[in-house]
Amino acid sequence: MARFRSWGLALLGAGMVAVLYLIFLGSPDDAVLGPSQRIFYVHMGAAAVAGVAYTITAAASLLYLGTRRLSFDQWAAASAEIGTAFTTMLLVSGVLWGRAAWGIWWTWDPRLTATVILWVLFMGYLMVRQWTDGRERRARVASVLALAAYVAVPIDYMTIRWWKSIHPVVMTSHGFNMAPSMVVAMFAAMAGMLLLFAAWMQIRLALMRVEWGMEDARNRMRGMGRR
Amino acid sequence: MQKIWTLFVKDMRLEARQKDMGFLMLAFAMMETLVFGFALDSGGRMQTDEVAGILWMGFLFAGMLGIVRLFGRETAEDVMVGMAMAPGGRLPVVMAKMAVAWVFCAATASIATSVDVAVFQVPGTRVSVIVVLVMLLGALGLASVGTLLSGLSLNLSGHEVLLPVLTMPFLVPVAIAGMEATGAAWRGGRPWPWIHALMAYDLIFMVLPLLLYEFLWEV
Repeated sequence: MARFRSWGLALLGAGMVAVLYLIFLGSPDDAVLGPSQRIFYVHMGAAAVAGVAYTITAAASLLYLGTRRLSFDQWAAASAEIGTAFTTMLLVSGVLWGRAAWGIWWTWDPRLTATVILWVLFMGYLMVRQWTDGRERRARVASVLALAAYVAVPIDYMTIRWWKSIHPVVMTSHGFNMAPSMVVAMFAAMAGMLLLFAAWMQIRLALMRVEWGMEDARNRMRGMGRR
Repeated sequence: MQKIWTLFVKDMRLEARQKDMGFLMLAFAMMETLVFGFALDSGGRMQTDEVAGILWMGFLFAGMLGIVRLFGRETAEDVMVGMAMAPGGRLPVVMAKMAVAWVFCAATASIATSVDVAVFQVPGTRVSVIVVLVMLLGALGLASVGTLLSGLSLNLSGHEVLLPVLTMPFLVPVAIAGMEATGAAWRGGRPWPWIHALMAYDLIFMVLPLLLYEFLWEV
């Protein structure tokens, strides 16, 4: 297992170096935005991870409600935490890119508004987890909440297609609205960030199991103290 | 159906005796209109979109007050246990609560719209069929989201504080679509795309509690 973990970390490190190379050296400057276009690759990577993370949270929540196995709740919680961190990254990189591209830090555009709502929803999910006592109750409440919050994910994705938005549409049914070398950098950034997500998930899940183990041990000791 | 009706009538009777949900919502919406009336005494400079914004903001906050009370009434004496264990199961409980919330939200919205139109007197603002439809759909959105989250957070610690924080982001899409549709109807624009969005959102959040009602609370 330790050897597998070292190989995984080595793969992640090499992958991230390759991604950084493609973002900063392998892709050209944008004709209009210049080098600030490179923020976009981080932005797209974060968006991809957020989408995947929330989908895992919703799927794990559904599985928990179906089976009542707490390991699914652990998956849901870990994925939501990481997804929220990546949504924060998505919003920050979007704000920076918006300043460079549109000349403003923020506008109440449908896509930006929907992403903020999504972020707040999952922050609420994490808050509920924090404030709810009892593993079973926490898992039940959080699972229902995750499924309700997940409604915002497809809406967020479709905002730029359903409403008039100044947010660029990169992927269309006719292909990509950018140069081929930029497409390579974008997909590399997405793959790199997904690798990072996988590694982070593994670490967070292991940490969560330790946290639960310590909680159980503390409860057992309290029980013994009372006797 | 019998259980839905019984629970619906029970909540209406309770409201008639205690006046702690519908009346509270209405009073809050009225106060909000008056406060904005004092603050924005604009001498006819206000636009229709601003009145729509004030109307929906008041409606949203008033609705949240009601949502907190929706299941909050049932915590004393373990009433929820009795309601859930009574013949018919839990689904009628959810449906009755949704119906109660919708009636109170719709009544608040209808009265608040008339009062806002009268208080702000902005040319173009009026209670039309389209505006009533938008308010009824908005009330449905508030009721369906509120029923889901109010039922879910029933036995959580800090329920009164947690529920508005949780509910607000879920209701932002309802408020945006409602404001845009009301504003468009008043200025002679196209409210239908926003009405359709409101319908779709309502539908999603009407179906979700019906799918997940078994997990909303445990007795």
